[in-house]
Amino acid sequence: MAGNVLDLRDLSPLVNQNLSFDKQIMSQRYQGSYDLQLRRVSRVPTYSRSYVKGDPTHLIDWKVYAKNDQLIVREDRDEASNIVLICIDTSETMFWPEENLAKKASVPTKWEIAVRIAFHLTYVHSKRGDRVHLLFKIPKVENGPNFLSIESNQDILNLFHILSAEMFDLNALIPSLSYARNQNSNVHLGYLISDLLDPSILDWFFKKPKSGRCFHVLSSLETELDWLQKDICYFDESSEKKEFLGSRLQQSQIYRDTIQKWKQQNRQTAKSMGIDLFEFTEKTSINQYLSVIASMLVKG
Amino acid sequence: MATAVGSFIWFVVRKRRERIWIPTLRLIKMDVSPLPKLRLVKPPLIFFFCFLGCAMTMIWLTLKPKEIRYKEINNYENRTHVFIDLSPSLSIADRQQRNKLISSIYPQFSQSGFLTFSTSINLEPVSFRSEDDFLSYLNELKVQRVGTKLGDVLQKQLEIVGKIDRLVLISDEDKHSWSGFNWKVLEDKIEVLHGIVPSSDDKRNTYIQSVEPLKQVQKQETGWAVKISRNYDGETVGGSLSLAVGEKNIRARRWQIPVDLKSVEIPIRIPFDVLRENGAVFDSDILDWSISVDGPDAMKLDNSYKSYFKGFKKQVLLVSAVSGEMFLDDNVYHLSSALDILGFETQRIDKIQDEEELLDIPLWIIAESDTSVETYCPRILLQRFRNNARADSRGGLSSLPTIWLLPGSLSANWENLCHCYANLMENTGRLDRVPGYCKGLETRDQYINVLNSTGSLQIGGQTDDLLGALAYRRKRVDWGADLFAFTVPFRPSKRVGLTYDRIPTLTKTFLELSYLLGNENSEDGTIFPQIANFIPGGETSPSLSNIPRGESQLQEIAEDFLPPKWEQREGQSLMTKQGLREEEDPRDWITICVSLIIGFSLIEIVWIFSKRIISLGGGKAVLILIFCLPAFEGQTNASTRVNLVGFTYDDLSAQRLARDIAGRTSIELEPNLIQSNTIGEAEFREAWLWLADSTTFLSSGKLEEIKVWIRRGGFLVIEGVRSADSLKSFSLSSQGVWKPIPPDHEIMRSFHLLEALPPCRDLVWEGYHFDSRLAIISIPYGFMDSLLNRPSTDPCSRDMTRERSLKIFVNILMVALATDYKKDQIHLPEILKRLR
Repeated sequence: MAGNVLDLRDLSPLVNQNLSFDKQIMSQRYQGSYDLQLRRVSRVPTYSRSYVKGDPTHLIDWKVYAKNDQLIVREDRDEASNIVLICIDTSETMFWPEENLAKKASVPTKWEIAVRIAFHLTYVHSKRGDRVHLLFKIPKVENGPNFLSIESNQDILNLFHILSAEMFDLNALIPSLSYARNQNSNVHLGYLISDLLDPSILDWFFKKPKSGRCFHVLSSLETELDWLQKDICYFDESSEKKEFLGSRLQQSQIYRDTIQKWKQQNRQTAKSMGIDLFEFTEKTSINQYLSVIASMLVKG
Repeated sequence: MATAVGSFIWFVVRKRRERIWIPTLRLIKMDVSPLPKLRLVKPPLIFFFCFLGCAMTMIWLTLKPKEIRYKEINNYENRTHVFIDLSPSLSIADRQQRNKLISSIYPQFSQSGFLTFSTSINLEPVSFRSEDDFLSYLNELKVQRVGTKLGDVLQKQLEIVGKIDRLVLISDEDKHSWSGFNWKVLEDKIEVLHGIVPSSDDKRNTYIQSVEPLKQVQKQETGWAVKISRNYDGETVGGSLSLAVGEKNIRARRWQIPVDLKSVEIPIRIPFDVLRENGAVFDSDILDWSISVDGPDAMKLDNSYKSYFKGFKKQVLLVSAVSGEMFLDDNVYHLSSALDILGFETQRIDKIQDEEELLDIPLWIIAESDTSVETYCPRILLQRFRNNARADSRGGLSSLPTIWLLPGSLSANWENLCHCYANLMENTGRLDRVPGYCKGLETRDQYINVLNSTGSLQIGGQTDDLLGALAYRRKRVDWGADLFAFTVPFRPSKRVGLTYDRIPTLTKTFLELSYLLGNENSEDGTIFPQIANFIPGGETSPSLSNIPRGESQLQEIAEDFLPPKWEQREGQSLMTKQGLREEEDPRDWITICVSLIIGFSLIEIVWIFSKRIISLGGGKAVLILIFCLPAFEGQTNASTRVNLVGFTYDDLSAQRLARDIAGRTSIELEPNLIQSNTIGEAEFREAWLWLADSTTFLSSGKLEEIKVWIRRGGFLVIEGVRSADSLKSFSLSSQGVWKPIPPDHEIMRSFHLLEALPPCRDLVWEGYHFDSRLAIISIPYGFMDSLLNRPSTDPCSRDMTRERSLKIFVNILMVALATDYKKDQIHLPEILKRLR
């Protein structure tokens, strides 16, 4: 269980799993984080609220009104299992920083952070009774095995244990993957964990589920430039060759401004698509992350 | 320039930058200017310093630094060569005085180095072990009859003698010998001295300049014009001229040169009968002309003159039947006229006769007639042809007349002509049988084809136009036959293109081709050669020469043109020309520069090596250093030296030998001889041994050790072997064999090409062949004495020249060092080329 964890480098599926304790006990009929539309009368005070014009009158607690002259509505919705699809971007940029730099800076790769978040989310939803699937967007392997369906909470823990033992090597995960069969159907909630450096990934994923959340994972080395050295050449050769001296990057504001603009753009894009976008780095504290999760779960 | 560019590169070329990939850089939308590829960096100081040091050293080397050194005179390393001019002009000097001059050179120069001699007749250098040998050599020298041009002959001499320090020319001041000799060129490397042979001051000379055949002589006689000249004038001089054949005087007459003339021509006419009576056979007889002078005559050698008499008679036999009008139709009328004009006596017969007397006539002109071939084709010649063909092996060809075979007309009987030609040239032997290739010949073209196909040479006409030839010539050297087969009648004819005026000219041309008429520009075979520039080793024999005119002139060259005069000075050391021994010596500077370059390179290597070893860690570093230790061992030298057993020589002799070997080959022989009395352990550590005699070998008591040593690769030379069987008992194994060294052995061609190894008495050089190599050489006499130029009691050693011994020694040395590497196929073409 969580102890003195500071940031997402120490995130594991079992971190802070005493959420929804009451809810589990309270709900006897269905389990899951999916609230059904049908409301029924309930005497449990947890589900009481003030009457709002238009509410069905049979949900009003008349006894309370007789006592207090307050219109109180008591309702309950049954839960059902959400079908949750968590997609993890496994493009080349997600495995940055590279080994030498990662060792030197003691920074994990974005992929590792993504996997930690993914497995934590998987455990949370699975604990709540949801059915969770993991989808790995592996570049250049469009028709290959990239799907993982979670049967039990123990599967999550076992898999996470294997991955962490293999230093989050993707090849350790591949034997557990299967071919995706019509993953588009009946997904209630989708999560995308990516660095969004591939601009088409949002469109690719969020056309399928109806609602979703995007976890924008970046490395702290991408957002902060203090670690750059003046005489070293920094480059990227994805679409056009770009090469900068460290001194130039540090001196000019262009990089910082560009990152800010890009983030802003992503937020706007996500908003326009009705997606919640959350930004994390490996330095994001666990508490901050958990509060995001909690707000997500409350919201439904 | 290279150093400057290299220095620039040290500072400018940057190291490879570290490059780190950041994916988010792709988001930056801006024009990116390329990063600078070059920048100034500080180079690693040690390597840069080493580079600068090497570069500066090489720049200094390109300036060719040198020091002027004075070459020390070493008594046994200096070579003096004495060249004795024996040209005819020296005959006016007193022989005793000449010999006295040369003999005074011997003691003077033999003390200061190695002394060799040669003459203008024989360029092979000879050396002497004692003054007596030298004096006997000197007494045998005779003045030659050929002229000498010192420049040409010394050029060849220096090629033969090799590197020398001093050249002494024993000669006179004759302009003919010294003209064109730029001796000053030699002074860069050689000291040149001139020993002037004293001669009388009166250089007035009278001589026979030339003897040429007379052009106008009567019939039945021959004649010569003898030109007697002198090199002075101002007074009348006379004498007598005599002609002798063999030892018989044939003719004598007086002559006189007037006051104002320098030469006079004396005609001598002699009937053939007189010549025959006195035994002249007209073939290669030498006529001896001599004059006696009643006046000053410095040189007597040129008072005699030789010329050939080759049966040169102006007689022609015409074999032609008379037909038609003489002027218009006769085959040989115009030819006969032309011959008369040219001074030839013609004898005409209608048909051929087999008379021996006719064989004396040098030219037979045979015209074809319409009668049978037997009437004009000679048969008597056939027997003479056969005799000559058989006489080849016994020597001596009989002279035969030259034959001109003329067609009678353009419609001649070509088959008969061909038949006669074939009989004469192919010696078919039978006139009654026509050869197959002559049968059916009807036209001139066919006749020409036969002539051409039998190997006759075209005369006249274009080179690609066989039919345009005037005649075809065929010579049979084996029979002495010479035939001109004409293809057109030799008389004026518009059709043929021969005009009246061309007949004498053509006749003269054909007579010259037949060597029956002398050409102005060529020798007609009667003139004895006068060799003005004789170089030994060529084809010309010095005995076949009259004194060249230049030598007879006895003109002196100005003293300024001559080298420094050598004079013997009592009690004083030899004067050498100042500055001659100085030479520019760059060796010290080269040594310094090479040492610097090696030093800088070592610094770099050690620096890199030590850094790498240190980076490996302690244990591995120690291990590597252990393996490096053998590199610091003391060096082992392989040297070549002569190891003698049973000899006693001084080391000075070996110094000269080492110098000679180094001068001829690339082998550095140690100047010290290793000498011992017996064969011991120290000797078995050497690669080769030289034993004084077979007794030293057989009685050494170390035969088994010697066998082991030979099996390990030892090479043994035993000289002074008196008996062929004395060593035969020594054998290593059944595969080893004693046998005489054959002419194609590797010893004969390992360096010099030797014709033979000198035998001694009945003994030859033998070798013991073992393990596919020559292991032991047995020399039948004392070889080392002749090699080191030491007095010897062995007559075979005394007869050997040092030069020949040196060549043999070099070959033995090569075989000892490299066995039979010269037998490799790669060397064979060069060896065969030199053998040819």
